Parts: sequence; C-alpha cells; structure tokens
Amino acid sequence: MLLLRKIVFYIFALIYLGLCPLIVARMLGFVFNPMTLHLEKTGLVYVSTIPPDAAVYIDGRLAHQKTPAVLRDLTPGKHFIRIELTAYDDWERNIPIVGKKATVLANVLLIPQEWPIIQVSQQPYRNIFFAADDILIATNPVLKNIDIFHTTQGITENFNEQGAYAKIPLFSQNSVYAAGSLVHLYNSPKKPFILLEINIKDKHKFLWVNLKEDPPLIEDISDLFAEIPARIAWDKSDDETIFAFSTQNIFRINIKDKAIFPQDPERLPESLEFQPIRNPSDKFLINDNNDLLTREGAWIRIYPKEDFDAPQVYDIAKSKPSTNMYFEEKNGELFYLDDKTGLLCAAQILPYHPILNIPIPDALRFKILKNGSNL
Amino acid sequence: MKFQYSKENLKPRQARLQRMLEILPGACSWGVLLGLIGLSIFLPFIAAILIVAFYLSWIMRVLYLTFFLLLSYLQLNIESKTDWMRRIRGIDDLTVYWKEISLKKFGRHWRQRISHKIHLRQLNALRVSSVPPPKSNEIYHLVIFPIVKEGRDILEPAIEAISRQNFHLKQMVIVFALEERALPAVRTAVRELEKKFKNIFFECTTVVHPAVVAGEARVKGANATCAAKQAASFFQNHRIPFENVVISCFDADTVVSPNYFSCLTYHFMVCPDRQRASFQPIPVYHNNIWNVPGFARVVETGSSFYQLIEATNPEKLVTFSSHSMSFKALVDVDYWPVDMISDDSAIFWKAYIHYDGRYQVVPMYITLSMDVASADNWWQTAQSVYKQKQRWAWGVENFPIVMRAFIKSKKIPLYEKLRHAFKLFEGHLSWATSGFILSFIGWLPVIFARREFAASVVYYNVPDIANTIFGLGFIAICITIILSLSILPKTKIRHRWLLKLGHAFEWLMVPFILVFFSALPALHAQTRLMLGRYLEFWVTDKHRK
Repeated sequence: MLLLRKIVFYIFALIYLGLCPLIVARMLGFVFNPMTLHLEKTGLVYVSTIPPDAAVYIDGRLAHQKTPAVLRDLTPGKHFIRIELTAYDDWERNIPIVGKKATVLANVLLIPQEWPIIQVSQQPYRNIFFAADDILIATNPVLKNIDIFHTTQGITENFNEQGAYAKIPLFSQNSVYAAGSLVHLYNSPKKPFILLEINIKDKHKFLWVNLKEDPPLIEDISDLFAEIPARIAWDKSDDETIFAFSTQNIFRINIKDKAIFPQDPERLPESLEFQPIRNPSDKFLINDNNDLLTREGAWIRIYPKEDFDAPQVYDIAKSKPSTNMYFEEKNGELFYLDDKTGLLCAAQILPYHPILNIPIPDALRFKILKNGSNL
Repeated sequence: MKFQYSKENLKPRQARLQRMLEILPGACSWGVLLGLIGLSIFLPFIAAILIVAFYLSWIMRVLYLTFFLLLSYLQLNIESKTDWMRRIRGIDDLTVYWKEISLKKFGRHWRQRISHKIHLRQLNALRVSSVPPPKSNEIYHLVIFPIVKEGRDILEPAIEAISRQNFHLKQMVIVFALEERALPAVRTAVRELEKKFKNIFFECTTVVHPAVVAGEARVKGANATCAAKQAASFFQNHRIPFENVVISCFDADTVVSPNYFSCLTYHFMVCPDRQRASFQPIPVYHNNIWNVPGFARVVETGSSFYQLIEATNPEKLVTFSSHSMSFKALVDVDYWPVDMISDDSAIFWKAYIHYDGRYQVVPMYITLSMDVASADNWWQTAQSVYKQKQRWAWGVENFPIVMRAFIKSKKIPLYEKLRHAFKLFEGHLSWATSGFILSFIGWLPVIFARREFAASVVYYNVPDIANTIFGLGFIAICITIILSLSILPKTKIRHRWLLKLGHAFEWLMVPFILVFFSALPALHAQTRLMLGRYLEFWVTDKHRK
C-alpha cells in the first residue's frame, strides 16, 4: 500500500505540475496554437440579451451556448457577431477583441419585429401624470373622466374578465365634483398626493387628493389659497406641507392642520421639489442604462448606447405631442397617449418577470374598482 | 534522545524559540487568509492565479485521497472476516505455520486471497527480522479508561465489549483511571463496574488520580499516566515483563469489536519492531450516530474516513484518539505528557523523538466505536462538536515542541525531519485555511472586481474553472456518500432506507461543515496558541438515548 501510495502521489504530483501552468495560462487567455506551436493571446466576448436564449453566431459559426454566453478563444481583431431570436430583428455588429480582455455585451436589447402595444383605456385623455407608488393619473378636462391606473403589474395581469384594463375613476358619477372641470394638476413624481385646481359651477376650487387611501381621499382646501398660485412646490421631508408661489407672495400651507403661513423667501427649505414647468418627461435610461428611450417629435424611439461606431435607432410608436410618457422600470412598460386617438397605451419595452406569479382571485382583483365607485 | 517533551520549565533561549514556534502556525494561517483577501482586493489577477492553483491542488488531493479511501475501505472490508485467533495460534509455532500456509492456496474468494497475501507478507517480514514474538499466552493487555464525568451508561457498554473478546480475558488488565474530582455518582458507578468485572479479567481495578499534583495540568494524559504507573507496579509484582504488555488507552465511550484484542495481538506479534510501535485502529463514531443531528453525523463520518485514508500511509501515520502501544515504549518515554491536551498524538511524537525517529505507527484495519459529541439540543450539540474539533486542532501544540526536538536531534535523519515537519505544519495550515478559501475567499477576486479586472478574460474564466473543479469534487462526495452508507451501523427503525436517503442528503452540508466544524475551530485553536491563550482540557459531552 505504501509503495502504491508513493507511486500514485508522484503521478498526481506530475499531473498537477503539468496541468497547473496550462490551466493558469488558459485562465489568462492563452491558447496553444498547434500550427505555430506557440501560446497565443486570446480574448472573449460575454453576451447577454433581453430577452435571453438567443442564438449567437461568431464569424458565421454558431456558438454552443445561447445567451447569456461566453465566447472564448477569440483572436485579437474584429469579429462579426450576429444574434438571432425568433420574432426579433437580428442583432449584428463588428466587435473589436483585444488579447486577454473581455468584451462585454451586457443586456443587448433585441428589437421585436412588432412591438407589443396594448390599448389600455377606452376613452381619450388630455395628459398623464405619475405619482409615487405605481400610480398613473390620466387626466381629462371633465373631472369624472379622470382615472387612476396602477402600473407595476404586467399589462396582461391588469386586464379584467371583460378585457378592460383595471382603472379607478378619481371621482365617481355621484360625486359633487363629477361635473367640474380640471384647470391644473399639481403633482410630485415622488409623492402620492396631488393638488387639483378645478372649476365647478363657476367657482374656483383647490382639491387635495391623498392617493395612498383606498378610495382616494379628497379634501376641499380652497380656503387655504388666498390667491391662485403660479407654482406649487413640495417639501420632500414633509408630506403634509406644500409651498404656493404667487406673483407677490409665498405661502406655506399645512394640509393636515389646515393652516397657512406667509413664507420668508430667504428661508425656504432646501428640500423643496418643484413640479417641472416644462413637462413632459421624455427621456429614460432603461435596461441598466444601456439604452436611451426618448421622444423626438411625436416618435418614441430607442437608441442603444453602445453602438460600436454604427449608430442605430428604433421607432416604437407615435405619441400625442406635449403629453407625458412614463416608463415603469418594475415591469418594463412604457405608458403614453396615442398620437391619433389620445387613448392610453402601454408598450412592453423590456420583458416582465413577476417574482411570484400567483393568480389573484377575481374577488380581490376588482375590490379596488368597487370601492372606487363610492366617490 | 533525552528531550523534555513539554513547554514548561524551559531555559530562556528554548522558551523564546518555543514561543516563536507557537506563533508560526497561526501567523501563517492568518497570513494566508488575509494575504489572499488583500490580494483579491488590490491585485485580483495574482489572487485569481493563486486561487486557481489552489483549487487545482485541492481537487488533485481530494481525488488522490478518495482513491486511497476506497482502497482502505476495501482492506477494512477484507479483514472484517479474518480469524485473528487462528493466525495468532499459528504464529506461536511460526516455522510449522509458515510451511503450512505458504504452500496452501487460501480461499476461493478474492477477499480471502488478498487477506492471505497480506498475511504472508507480514509473516515473511517477521521471519526475516529474526525477532521472535512472545507466545500469545504470554502477551497481556492493559486497558486504561480515563474517567472524569462519564456515567455507567457510557462505561458499561465499553467494558462489556471487552468482556466479549475472543482473546483470553485472563490476560487482560482493566484499569479505571478515575479523577479524584469526579462526582460521587461517577465514583459509585466505577466501583460497581469494578466489582462486576473483577473476576472476569486478570485484574480489574480503579486508580484514583489526585486532583492536584505539582507539575501537572488538568489533562487526560496526567490521569492516564497515574494509572499506567500503578499498572507498571502491578506487572512488576506479577513478574510480567513490560515487553509482553500492550497498553490501550481508550476514551470511556470506546466500544471495541469482539476481534479487537486478537487483531491487536496479531499485529503486535507480526511487527518486527513491536517494542517501538503504536497500533492504530480505525475510530468510528457509531455508538449514538443515529441519535445526533445530521451535521454531527457527517462531521464524525468524515473524521473516520480521514483516519481510513491515513491508515494507508504508515510512514506518516500519527496516533489519534483511542489506540494501543507497547507498554515498554510507554515506560521508556516516561508515559504521556502530563501538561498537554493532545495526549494521543503527543505520545507518538514523544516516542518518535525518544527513539531518534525509530518509532512507527502500525495501522490496524479494525474499527472501534465511540460516541459522537452530543448534547440536549441542536445548538448545544453544535457547540460540543465545535469544541471537540477545536481540541483536536489543538494538536498544533505539538508543532513547536517537535520542531525544537528536531533542531536539537542529531540522530533523526534530515529527510525524516523535513518530511514530518512539513506534514505537521502543512496539515495544520491547510486545516485552518482550506475551508475558508474554498467556500468564500476564492470568490473574492470576482466579487471585488474593479473595472480593469472585470473587463479581463480572467474574470470570466475563474468561475468557469472553479465550477469544473467543484464538479469533479462532487464525484468524490458521491463516493464518500456511498461508503458512508455502507459503513454506518444498521438501525432497527421501520423505514431504514428513508434514514439512509436522508443521510445521503446530509452530505450536501459539507461546505458549511468545512467552514464551521473544521476550518474555524482549527483557526481558533491556532490563534489561541499564537496569542499564548492556552486551551484547557474540556471533556466532550456524550449522551446516549
């Protein structure tokens, strides 16, 4: 046994001594070339795509792995890479490879031959606004036609049995404000509160809406406005306080205590957040900052950031001019108002992967809708 | 060589050297771990190369050890049916026996043939050595059980197992080495057992070790030494030469198989240099293996397998846990160290140094069963197992003493010194570091990767190579699981296959066990030695349900 142990030990030791330098060299990107009998430097390409499982061809040869894939042993220089996936446009580039280096093509967004666009609403809207916590407010000049949509679930999951997208009317048909008209909507993208400036029966009113509540809590706070503000600012650190800027004065309004205070312009809190004067928001860096989703004129377009000296642009859809569009990162959907009809539409830009796809019982699914009709 | 095998009462220069050597293993282990972490952050390329080289050496070692685990298991299996008593009687009349068996074709089964071949080789070595063994009826076995808190439920099965030996019981002396500080209940149990077994063996007696003795620490070695000295007087009084006595120092929970002492006697007889030898059986932990949490089962099965592997390399084998040795050698080296915790390995080194390197450990392919450290609940068992492993890892306390002896010794060949020193040092170093490197330090270069490293080929190749290597490691795990299932004792429960299936899955805890019940206690022990915070002896909790 002792002799055998020694023999086997030396065999293993020899294998190790032979194998170790080879594996380390391989790890560093060196490959033995039997033609030249030399070790040659190589590089690699890492490709991942959205969606995954696409076939990768390098210099015309199909790689063994589907995306995400690591293509090794590539000699320095340019290599032609083509990525193919059914129902998507081919992705083709000349990629530079450097010895001992990895070229990373992370999250390459494959462009579908036809964008999956779903009409979300049955009625046209004037504009859309985003409030915190997945709330999208679609506005209309008539108050009873203002609707709230929740955006974080996938498009298909938000459709009810009748094939309509789940929405909550902000004002029910029976609401005293239902017949009123919207003058202005003040919102902060990070707060679940909105301030509505409305006209009802020739009276000018201000309504504070707390979207956190179900159904939304609406309070008439017109008494807190001595004059019509030119701008509204929100205090980031205080949910219940807003600042009303008029031509002459600034007022600090505490919604909870229903109190109004004149504000010294020199002592404004640093944490103020103004509603952008020039909405709409129309630029989003999506897909881990790999692609730019933007609007040029009416066209919504995607620009891949890494273009390898061959800039590409892909059209998605045409949207209504001067309206907001909103990209929901959690489910990869883009919400916009259709150019021709003004209907709210959603385009699935990035794939949606719910963490747990638990079927929601209908009784729960429409609870929000039923409660909303109490207004 | 005359050498004081202790860290106490050293001359200043020796004390300084001892201290430096105590610091060395811990400092090197921390150096390796912190160095790799530092390299992973600041020089990830170098770290990645070192880690891949380490992974490769690890997998080679794992495959190498698995191969010998298989061979060793095979030999254990082969020898399980051996009639040791028949062989012993044969050796008593060696010339006739040799003629008889060297001509005879032995057995039809391949196992019998292999066992026979090994037997012939051992007999031939004995014949060539021209050192005739004592007759088997002149060989006495001294068995010492150091006891401090073990109750009758632990002790009685151990003594009963000895009483069932197929070796002559009247050639066996049992000594209960009882600590004076033991609780009255333990003392009563020992007295009762002594009375019960008095007439079965040649002698069964109790030696009480005083609670406080100058120059002694509260360690098992001190207790066993006290008992062995009393036994020496006993043998002198009965005119039994020490050369004919084999001593076995067993943990109180050691349950031997009926063949143990006949197997031991056989190995004692066929070993030409039997007075300079220890005899190491394979310790298994089967007494309560099905009553402990899964992780403890895996830990102890792993320990048994380690000993099985070690048995294939007698040149580097060191005594461990319950084992046996020549009583003459024990007396010559002045018994066990009385101030060290790791008495099991220390006695080998003490004898090795005393005999200038001419001392060996003879592996015996026979098991003796002990208890897995266990307690009332899962958490306490985990603590118990951890402390036990830390105590085993405290064997690193031998390193500075052995190194001092090697420096002083002129007679031990340099090659032997280097071989043993390297094994001792590397063994403790890899014990404390491998688990950490394999489980998380190896991933640090990728985790801490900065832009430059993340854009390199190495960044993508390291995980790939690591996965391939760990995939190969899984083969070793599968073999280990199969062996584990075949070596574990049968249970009387209804759905035994379910239990075994569960045990197979328990091996998936290996990465966790490698860190928390191997590397961490070893690093803890080395750190304590490095900082001079010496470990105190702690008796492992053992429970039986």
